[in-house]
Formats: sequence, structure tokens, C-alpha cells
Amino acid sequence: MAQESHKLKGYKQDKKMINKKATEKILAIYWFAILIIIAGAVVTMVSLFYGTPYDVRDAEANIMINKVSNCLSENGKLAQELFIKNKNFNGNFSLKEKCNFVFETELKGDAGEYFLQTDFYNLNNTKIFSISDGNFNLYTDCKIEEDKYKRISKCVEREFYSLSPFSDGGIFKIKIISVVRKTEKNVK
Amino acid sequence: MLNKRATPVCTRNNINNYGNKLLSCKRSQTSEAMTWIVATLIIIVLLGISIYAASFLSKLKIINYEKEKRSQDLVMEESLFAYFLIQDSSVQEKVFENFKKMSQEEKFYSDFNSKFQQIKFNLNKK
Repeated sequence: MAQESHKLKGYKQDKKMINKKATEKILAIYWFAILIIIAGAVVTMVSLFYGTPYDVRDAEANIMINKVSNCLSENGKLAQELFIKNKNFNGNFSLKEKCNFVFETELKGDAGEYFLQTDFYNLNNTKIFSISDGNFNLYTDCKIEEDKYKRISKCVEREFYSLSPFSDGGIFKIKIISVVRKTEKNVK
Repeated sequence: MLNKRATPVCTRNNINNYGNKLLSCKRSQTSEAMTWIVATLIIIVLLGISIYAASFLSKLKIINYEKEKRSQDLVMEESLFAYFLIQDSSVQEKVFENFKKMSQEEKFYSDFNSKFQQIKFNLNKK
């Protein structure tokens, strides 16, 4: 009887040892799986956040407007180059050249990622003159209501006043429309 | 006394009485497994929330030029310089009305009144 009881005790101890080893193995696999899941989630989170580029198109369009206003008007007076001899506006004035813009991008076969338009109005809000440069197709995108549809490009419109450089002192309201597409670089 | 249950209960009495037999405490095993399953699910849910938060935050990576508080607005300043150069007071009044309107419509990126006073003070000083 005592021998049998001793055998049973030994069997139980062996079984316990085997069970303990198996449990440890399962737990190790479990912890490894959890570790992989957490590491995967951290990698996903980092790539999601840092993989998305900053959308700087709005800032870029505003900087372009600042540059145009600075180029067209100095200390409240319009640039002489905007006019021809008989005080009429110069139709050959190029924003790109005079304001030192580079509209070419690294995207090959691209029609253009930028568009600039400057409209000159008198105090009665009558349009007198207009200059534009860049990809005109982008301008149509600005007419889409942003609340209803998502626009492809960013449009910024600003206006300012400036005086004629001549002694007659006529004042003009200048409206600048700046459009930046560059969707590939700014939106994921 | 024999245990009539199909699966023995792991109480102290039962273990004392049937300690020499191989008993499987299925209930405690099940509850232990449940703890692990729930813990795993909690970890997965928390990770899911974190991933969702990361993707939500990534969509907010937009630099809004207008909404950012700034002390300078070059376009507005250009207008103000032109305003102070106007000789005709009626035209100046009309332009100022337009400035007020633009300020109300929040078309200026910096504080119009403070800039107006600042430029006026600087021009008078000269």
C-alpha cells in the first residue's frame, strides 16, 4: 500500500512538472505574440503620424500673395513697371519674371502647380486691368464650394490698396488670387 | 462519500478528501484562461484606440496661415501706407470705411487698429 501511494505521489509530481513546463511554454508564446502586436501597433502609429505630410499649401499661397504685393507696390505706391508711357497698364508685365517666381516643380510632364492672378479695380469696384501667370486650369478649382466638395488645390484671395506712382494720385484696389495644387506633396 | 459531480469542485474539503486522486479543477482553469483572454482583449482595444488617435491626429497636420496669430500682415501694411499717402480726405474716408469692413470680415491677419495707430504714430514722428 505504502509503495503504491509513493508511486502515485511520484506520478503526480512528474505530471505537475510536465504541466508547469507546458504552461511556461504557452505563456512564453503568448507574451511573444503580445510583444509582436504591441510593436506592430507602435510602428503603425508612428508611420501613420509621421508618414502624413504637413499641408503647407495655405501658407505657401499666402507667402506668394505677400511676395506679389511687395513686388507690385512699394510703400503704398504701385511699381512704375506696371505702366507704360501714357499711364496705361503694361500688358506685357509678367508676374513670374518681375516677382522672381519659379513655377517649375520636380513633377515631370506637369502642367503647373501654381496660379497667380492680380486684378486692379478703381474705387467704384470696376475692373481696370488684370495680370495672371501659371496654370489657369487651377483657377476653376477655386470656384468649387469647399463645403460641398473637396478641392484639389488651395486658393487664397486677398486684397489691398495702392496708389498710382504718378502725381494724379489715383488709388487702386488690387485683388490677388493665389492657387497652389501640389496635392501629391501635401496630402496623403 | 463520493463526489457526484462530473467535474470536481476545487474546494479545500474536496482537495483534502480526494487529494490522492488526480483531480482536474476545470472551473479555476477556465477562470484563469478568461482572465488572460480579457487582458488580451483590453490590450488590443487600447492599441486600436491609439492607432485611431494617431490617424486622427495625422489628419490635423495642416498649417493654417490665417488662423495663426501673427503680429505682421504685409498686405494690410501696404494698404495702410497707401491710405496715409492719400491727399483727398473724401477718398481717404471711403478707403477707411472699406478697411473697417474688411476688419469686421476678418480679412486681415493681424490686429488692424493697433497697426493703424502704430503706422500713424511713426509717420507723424517723422
